[in-house]
Amino acid sequence: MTQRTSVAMTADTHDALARALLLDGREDVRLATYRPSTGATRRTALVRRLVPPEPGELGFRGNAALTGRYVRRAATLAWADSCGLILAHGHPGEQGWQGVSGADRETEAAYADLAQEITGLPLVGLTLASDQSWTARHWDRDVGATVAENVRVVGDRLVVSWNDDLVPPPRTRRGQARTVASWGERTHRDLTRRAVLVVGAGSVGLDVAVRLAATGVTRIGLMDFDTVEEHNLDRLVGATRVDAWLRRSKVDVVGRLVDLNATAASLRLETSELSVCEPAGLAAALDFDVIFSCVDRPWARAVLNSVAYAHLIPVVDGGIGVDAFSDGNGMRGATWRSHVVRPGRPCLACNGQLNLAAVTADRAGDLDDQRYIAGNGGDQGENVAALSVSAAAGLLAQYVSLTVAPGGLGDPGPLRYVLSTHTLEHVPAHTRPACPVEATIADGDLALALAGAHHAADHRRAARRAAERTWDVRLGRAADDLLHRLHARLLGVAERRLRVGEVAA
Amino acid sequence: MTGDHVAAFVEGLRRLRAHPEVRDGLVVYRVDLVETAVEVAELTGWPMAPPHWIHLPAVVVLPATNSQRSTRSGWLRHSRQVDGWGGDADPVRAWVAHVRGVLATAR
Ligand SMILES: [Zn+2]
Ligand SMILES: [Zn+2]
Repeated sequence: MTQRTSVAMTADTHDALARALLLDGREDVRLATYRPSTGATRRTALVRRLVPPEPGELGFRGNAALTGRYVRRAATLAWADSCGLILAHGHPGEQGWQGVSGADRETEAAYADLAQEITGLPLVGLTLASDQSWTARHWDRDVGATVAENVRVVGDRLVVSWNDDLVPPPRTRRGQARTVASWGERTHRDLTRRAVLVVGAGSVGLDVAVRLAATGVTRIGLMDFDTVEEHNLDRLVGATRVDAWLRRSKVDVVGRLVDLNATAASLRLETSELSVCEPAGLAAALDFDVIFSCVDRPWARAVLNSVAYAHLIPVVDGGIGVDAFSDGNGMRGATWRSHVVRPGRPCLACNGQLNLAAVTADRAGDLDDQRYIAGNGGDQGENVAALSVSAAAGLLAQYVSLTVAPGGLGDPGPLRYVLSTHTLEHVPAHTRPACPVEATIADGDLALALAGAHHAADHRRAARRAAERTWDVRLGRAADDLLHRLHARLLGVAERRLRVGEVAA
Repeated sequence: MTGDHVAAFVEGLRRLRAHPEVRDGLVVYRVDLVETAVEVAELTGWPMAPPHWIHLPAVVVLPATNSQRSTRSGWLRHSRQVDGWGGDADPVRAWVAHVRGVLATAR
């Protein structure tokens, strides 16, 4: 149980808890329920609902004191909803991430066993400081407190409280001076610590990932099962014919570009050749704080759409549609869209960007089946490099709004840029009654996982492995790898020379 | 989990008196006296994502292009995309309405 831990809640839940815990400047205490969200290396407690105390359930001995009755009642409610128990209290007058004081440790430890016995899940302790920053820990039986690495609050802004001991603020460097000057040291330290996953390493995903690296983000994930092919080269800027010949995976090639463009002192790059539709891919995705959806297939987008609500990980989604004339002469138009998928906003199915009815056909592999496509008049997915960068820009601007809230405004809602008229439109979107996706807020591990075996992904990976065994690809790779190693060496030399210049200046 | 989804789908059909039965990897049921079916394997996303192929006896002719052999002998499966999904409080009712709409085009 040395896993990383985290806590997440919606902005509405945060507001309700803050009202209860910090109302009159006295240390108050509340119980709440949570559902676990289990990633590959991180488990997150998703706060579900507050359990307000009934008369006589809080005693006062200087500070608010719990009673066993309150704990037992709340734990029973939690159990009935397949939840764990949260013990939350306020620290009026304090700022930032809080250490666990002796008294807090004793109170939480005293109820940890009881909570686990009733709910079957570890007690989670939460502390809220006056500046609205959270602190959290999981109490596992026989292990004690595992302090969380962060707490994220998902609303029209993504607000993250950080445990500096576990995720130290990144050192800013001279190469980032202008970025830092744009939004200040504090914002920069926060946003470059967020673990960001880019799902889909195609033209849009590539641009997004490279820009995140240039911004200084210190932990970037890349997920794609596909191989670089010659017909990708007009959009995968930075990928070469060598990569197509050597059957490089897209995440390898984009990962290399991300590394080259990273401005952070150290970048933790996590590449995965899984699909987010596979159970292991989905688990890997649940380790991140924010996800970019740069995929166009309905199945993958449906999985991410669900993650945004069920696991409280905001998903920045969007894409481009190029409308070609069927006779091959000229172009009718193009549009690109961008939106943040999160509780409080309509999901991708409600805002018209995802047809949930296409998921089953995609999952069965029908969308790769020529017979099926011929019968249904499938579209070709046209795209050009000159415009895909605009789609990426749209996604990145949504991300900056969500993260930095320029002028105090967070995510702006769905946007659409129409190329023929050059207009940017706010797209009205409403949650449909009985939307099955948005009903899953904080359902966590119990949410319907649309993940399963993915034959197209298996097939791609197998084809790549087969190609890797041929002699010409092996030799080509050895030569190509050597060149990249030499280039990396040269970059190291440049780094040291620039440092010398820095000291002299 | 798969079993739960199938059970939910079957239970919904039973409520609508569609006489559902699970056999040979299909949920066979009746819509307006016509026997029809969906594949059990296509119900893993239910009710978030609906099934895709509509299985019908070969005597039911749809003015359509995309029909393939069904797993059931003498039947065909027909590719019919649902327009919009997820806005109905009762997904089984929405599904049956979709099937009924497709059957209305039959010759
Ligand atoms: Zn305290
Ligand atoms: Zn929705």
